[in-house]
Amino acid sequence: MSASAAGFTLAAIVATIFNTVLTIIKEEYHPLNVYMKSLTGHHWITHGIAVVVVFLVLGFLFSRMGSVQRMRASTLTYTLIATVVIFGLGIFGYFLQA
Amino acid sequence: MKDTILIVHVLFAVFAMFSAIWLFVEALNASESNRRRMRWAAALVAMFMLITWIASGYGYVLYYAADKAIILAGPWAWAHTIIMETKEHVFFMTLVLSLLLPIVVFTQDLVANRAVRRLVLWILALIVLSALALEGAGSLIALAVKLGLMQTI
Repeated sequence: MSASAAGFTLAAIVATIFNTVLTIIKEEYHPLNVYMKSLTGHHWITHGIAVVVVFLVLGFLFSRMGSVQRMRASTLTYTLIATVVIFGLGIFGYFLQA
Repeated sequence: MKDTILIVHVLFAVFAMFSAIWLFVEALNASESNRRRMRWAAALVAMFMLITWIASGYGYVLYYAADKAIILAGPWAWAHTIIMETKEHVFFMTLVLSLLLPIVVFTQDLVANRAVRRLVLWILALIVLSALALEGAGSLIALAVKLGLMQTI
């Protein structure tokens, strides 16, 4: 895989996890929600920008790491699938039980 | 204006899904002759999903509070507490996948590299499936608003 493809795929995996973790933390810790709202006027806007920034920044960083470039495409593929499914269902499960 | 924004975000999400399905078929048949179409399709997925984000954000921030109050006072309060809360956060996963797609398609040779082609196909499948789930969630939310309003009649 190219360095960019591998790096940004790994960044997408991390950003997906970050999205779920941030969702739960801001629901459980109200001051964070308030702070996020203060940054852009709405917590959801701040949340979205944070996730995209995490994806882009980590993508650039991981693209420059030799160890990431050596990762197999199949490993990244299955990890991405598992992460999206598990952490996506995690968000649903959190609000289901909340 | 509110209804226009609502339709715009739904419409562009559908355009993104159509583009993803288009790319899925192209990638399954990847060859020298369709490289350019694959890149176009990948770029369109990302562009349409970004427009969806902007339109949905605009509608959510400016107009959703009123609908939220109706839903919470109505018979389907769970449509907000579970469905909308899930929808607004799962969307970011779909968005990230949509942004990842052109990066992979533009920097990799999908014709020669079967493993990366498989990655692209899975990214597309995740985008389409999550977007379909979000569309379904949106219709539940719209129905919850309707039921909430009917309750007041």
